[in-house]
Amino acid sequence: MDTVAIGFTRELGPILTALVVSSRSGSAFSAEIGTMEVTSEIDALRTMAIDPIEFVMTPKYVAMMIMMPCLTILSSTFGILAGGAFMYITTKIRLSMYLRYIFNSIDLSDVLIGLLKSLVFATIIVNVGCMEGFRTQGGADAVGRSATSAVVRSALLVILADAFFTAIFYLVKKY
Amino acid sequence: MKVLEAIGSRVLDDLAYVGGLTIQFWSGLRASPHVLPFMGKRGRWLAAIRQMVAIGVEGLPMVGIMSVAAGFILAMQIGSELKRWGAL
Repeated sequence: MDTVAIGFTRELGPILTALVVSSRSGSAFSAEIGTMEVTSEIDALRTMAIDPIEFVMTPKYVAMMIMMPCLTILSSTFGILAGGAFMYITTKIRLSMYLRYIFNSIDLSDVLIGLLKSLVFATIIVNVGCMEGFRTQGGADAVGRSATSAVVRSALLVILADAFFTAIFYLVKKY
Repeated sequence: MKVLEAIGSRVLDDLAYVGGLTIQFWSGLRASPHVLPFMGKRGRWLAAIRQMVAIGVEGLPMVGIMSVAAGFILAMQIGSELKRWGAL
């Protein structure tokens, strides 16, 4: 039960959410901005003295910074409740008892580490998705390539950032 | 020599990419107060709310299904191992 609870709050919740959001929203950001780039809408914004970063990217960034922690909390809750359902089916442990055990085994620091990770992952997903969009050059096929590239690069960077954070927190706890 | 050139060129490209990401990150961070409610521009905040719906509300079913499946699988695997060792 500890493994499911701590594993979800610290690791699986943030990373599962980040991978789903990067494949869903990261590719959408890249395709949207890429289409704006190839149809010269971004150039039109610059001509009107509107900063494309402020107009196109910042609403996505703010939205992602608010929604990623919410989705991460929900993801951890769903995962822990699914573990509780399995425990009820196999060992007939009541949900109230399972939840009491879970609340005793999770620290506030576990939840905060998961939320901090989700904010870093949100930053990576938005920046990579928008960067790939702004770098799009060519026609419709380039938009598809940039969307694919956004998903691949953001998934890779999310996993690398997760490994980095896990190593840092491990070292901080150890010493 | 060509291999070294290819590796060097790739490394330089990746460093330029990371540098571009960092510059874009700071630009986005500097511009983010313009999107916040009350102190920012109204249209930008509405755009942010639309993005929140697209990211959060529309993404929730997929995140939920994946988390439930992962939680069930994790508990099942750990449970079967614990049973094998007589701990459950």
